[in-house]
Amino acid sequence: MKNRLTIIIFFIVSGCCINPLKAQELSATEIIKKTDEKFKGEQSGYSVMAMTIVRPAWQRTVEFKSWAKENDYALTLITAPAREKGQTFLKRKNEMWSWNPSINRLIKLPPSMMSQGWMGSDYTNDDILSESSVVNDYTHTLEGEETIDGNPCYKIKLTAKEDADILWGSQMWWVIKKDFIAIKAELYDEDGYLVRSETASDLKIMDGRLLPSYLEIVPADAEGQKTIVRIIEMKFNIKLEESFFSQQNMKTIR
Amino acid sequence: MKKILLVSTLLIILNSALFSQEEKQKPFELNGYLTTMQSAMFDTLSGPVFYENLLNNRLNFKGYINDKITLAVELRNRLFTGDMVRSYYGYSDMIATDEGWVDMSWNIVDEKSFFLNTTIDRAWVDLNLNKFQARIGRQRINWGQTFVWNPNDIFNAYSFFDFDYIERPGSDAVRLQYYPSFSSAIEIAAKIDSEEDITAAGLYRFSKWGYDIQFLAGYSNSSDIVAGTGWSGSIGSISFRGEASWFRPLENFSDTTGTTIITAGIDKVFENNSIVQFQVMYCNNPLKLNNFSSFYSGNLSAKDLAFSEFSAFGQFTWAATPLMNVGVSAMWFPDLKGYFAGPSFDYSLAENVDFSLIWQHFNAEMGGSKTRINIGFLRVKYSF
Repeated sequence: MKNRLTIIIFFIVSGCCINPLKAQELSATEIIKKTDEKFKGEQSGYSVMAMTIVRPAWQRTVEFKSWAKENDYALTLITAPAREKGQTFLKRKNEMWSWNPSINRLIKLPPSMMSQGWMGSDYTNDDILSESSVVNDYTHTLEGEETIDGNPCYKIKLTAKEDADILWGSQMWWVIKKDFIAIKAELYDEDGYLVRSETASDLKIMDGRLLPSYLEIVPADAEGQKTIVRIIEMKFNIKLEESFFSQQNMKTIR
Repeated sequence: MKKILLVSTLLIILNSALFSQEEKQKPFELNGYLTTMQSAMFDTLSGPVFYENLLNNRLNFKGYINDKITLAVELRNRLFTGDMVRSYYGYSDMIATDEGWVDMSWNIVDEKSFFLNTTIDRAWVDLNLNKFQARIGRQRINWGQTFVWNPNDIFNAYSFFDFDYIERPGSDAVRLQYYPSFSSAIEIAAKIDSEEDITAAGLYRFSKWGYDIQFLAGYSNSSDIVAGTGWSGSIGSISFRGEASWFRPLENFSDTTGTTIITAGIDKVFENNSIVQFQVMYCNNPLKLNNFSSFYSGNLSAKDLAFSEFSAFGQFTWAATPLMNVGVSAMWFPDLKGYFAGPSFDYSLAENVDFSLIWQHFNAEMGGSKTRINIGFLRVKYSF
């Protein structure tokens, strides 16, 4: 049951994309909007990823391939570690199944499992299912420009609106000016304490798009602890019929 | 200009690299695991203790002939040493007994103090054509919906206690599956065993109202007519699963009422990564047990799952840390005035190495006398 992390991570990272935009004068809100759009709006996608949970005394990695169509359909195949290799997960709308090849059994998973976080990773439930919007639930102010890893960036502060029901009090984002990629974010609680930092690096062209291939999530209060997501391969708007997301395919996909 | 050229060249190289990577699907796969398991069995701490060690190597081989045809052979090599081997006459022969039509279990070496057994428990060829799938050979046909007792699992029921063999034996069978939609299936399967007894049945499974629902009917072990139903779904955030089967001997059909087994269970995953499971089972015609070994492993068929009119099960497991799982399970058999209780502890030592400590305690009245047995297991597993 540990494997639900793969689905969760899949939902977080899937559909990263870029809309080629011309450099122009933009308001802070417009920048955040354009940056946010990169994580949305893809019809379908395929990705190969590895997620590593790092703790002071140990680390463990899970690798998987995922296929997705809109927000409703996803098929995930675990490729490592050896013990869990070959297990698949199918999501269709709000129903989910798992297939375990060693016992040859299809198991229907409860809807509650989709909303579970995974204790090992540094993601929280809010990251996964949150309906909150960085565009609508925050006010945005341009704090200036800074260079991160050689990339000139907009530095933008997101302050939670009074009536917004969200986890964070404020966020600081660094967005690459020419590509609208957020490569650094700091998340603060309501009292202004740093809770978590996120960085994206190793920009690569994947399926014709420039994307960060290395994401790191570091909780502020835990020494030596982090979660790393490596994106090995990504494809966008590939031809995937709804019928691809079937129980028959769960057993044969590889 | 130079920059554009560079970028587009990079793009082409990257794209072709990615494509070639994807094309390179391996035509075969080999994986498996190696375990060493030490067990100690005793009645009371003051009495004798039987020690056993099992070195178990599982190999799973899969060959992909093309998109449509897949071959698989899976086998286990087991080296037994210890007190059971030395003191229990016929132990090695019992282990080498193959319930299948083809005998694919061999004792390669069989000495007084140890023996090495090789068993092929999967050997099939699979044809996958559009919505149709055919699999011929030794295979696991798993029709279960619940987690502990599976009256719908008529091809291959299993004992909950045999935790070291999650794959379960295969059946020598032909299985045809047709998938009318993304989440439904029609199946027809037939198996033959070492006694040349035949089990043949059909199953229809579909998804409706958020539930997986199945109906099955057929002929079991060359003796009974069987009909059953099973389901998996949820009530709110709690999973609700169940199975019911009815068996009636074909001979003397009108003289007997048959055996009815109904089981239902719930399970829930909590935010703190703990899982709670409950299951109850009713049987109008439970099996009369005389000894512990039939209780523990037995020749379990779906019809012989119950030893008590009512049985109940509960389990709690908690992933205390990402590396550690602790659990406790219990079973209750009122008719045997008996119960089973067992704590377990699993720890991930390294990426592919797991450590387990498992305790099983049985206490029941069988054949008119009180039986009490403790078995402790210590296992290290390396997966590859």
